[in-house]
Amino acid sequence: MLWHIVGVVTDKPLILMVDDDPNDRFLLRRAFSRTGVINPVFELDSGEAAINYLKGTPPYDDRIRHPFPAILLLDLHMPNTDGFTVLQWIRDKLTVGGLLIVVLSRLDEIRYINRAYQLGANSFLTKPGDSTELEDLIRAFNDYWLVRNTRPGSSTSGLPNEPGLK
Amino acid sequence: MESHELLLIAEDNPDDALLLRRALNQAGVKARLKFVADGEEMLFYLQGAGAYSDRSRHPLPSAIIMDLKMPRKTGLEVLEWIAANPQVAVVPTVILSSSSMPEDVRNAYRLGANTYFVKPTTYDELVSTMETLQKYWVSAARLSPHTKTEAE
Repeated sequence: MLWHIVGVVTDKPLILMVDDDPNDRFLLRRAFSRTGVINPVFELDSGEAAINYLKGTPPYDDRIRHPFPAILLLDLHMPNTDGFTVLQWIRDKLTVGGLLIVVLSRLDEIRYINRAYQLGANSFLTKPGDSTELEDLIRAFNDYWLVRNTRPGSSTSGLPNEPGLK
Repeated sequence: MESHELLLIAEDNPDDALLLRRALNQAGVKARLKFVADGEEMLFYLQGAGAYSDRSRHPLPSAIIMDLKMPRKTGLEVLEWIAANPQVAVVPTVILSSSSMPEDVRNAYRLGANTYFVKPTTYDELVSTMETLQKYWVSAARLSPHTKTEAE
């Protein structure tokens, strides 16, 4: 488990980044910081960890330190529990409506895009080839999902309400 | 959206439909625009029912824009039907609603809306919202290319 969080306590909604590739996590972390994203970003390196985090099972049971995310930025191609399994788990087990899911993957064939949308992804982004393009993409992600789009829960407290487990 | 793509829009107020059409054009949206009058007509279109039975003339859209409060069938009912139909569930749905009530927002997402915008009150803001949609969904996000999938 790896994580970095900007500031200790913040009321900015959390972005949960799930990617098994340490290089991609590094480039994403850098893109978030260079594009001026001030939201906390929590990093996980596997689908299993993502499910545990969303469930709030140890070591993620303290919701002050590990708040429920507003946005899940999800890789698809991961060993053991892949992104599709995480999407399916969210669909089956979480009373959804409080979590936005943005897929960020190199798997960009039509069937993968369709499957991700069918399983409830809000949006599908393709991982670009270089870090400049990645910064442009993260800028678009930030501007759209954190600024323009109306998030569930954002019209009242500014904090996402945690959906319950089914 | 590219010119061969289709944007399906439900708007029951003809004046609002006219303004939305102008705003989409002004925002540089190149997709073909198909307006339907309410949730029921939206469902007929998506089901390929009645006047919409010819899929070559009325293909599945690349994206959908609709309100929640519509006559005959509400936006939530349309979302429910879309979620239950995998072939259509790949189409991103944009809710453009006058409601900013948290339960409306939450219910829309719960039933599968991809994104939610509160309907702007001025025309300039409407253009700006359409520019935002165009910029993200066309330049950044990946959409399901229906026409290709169906030809396969």
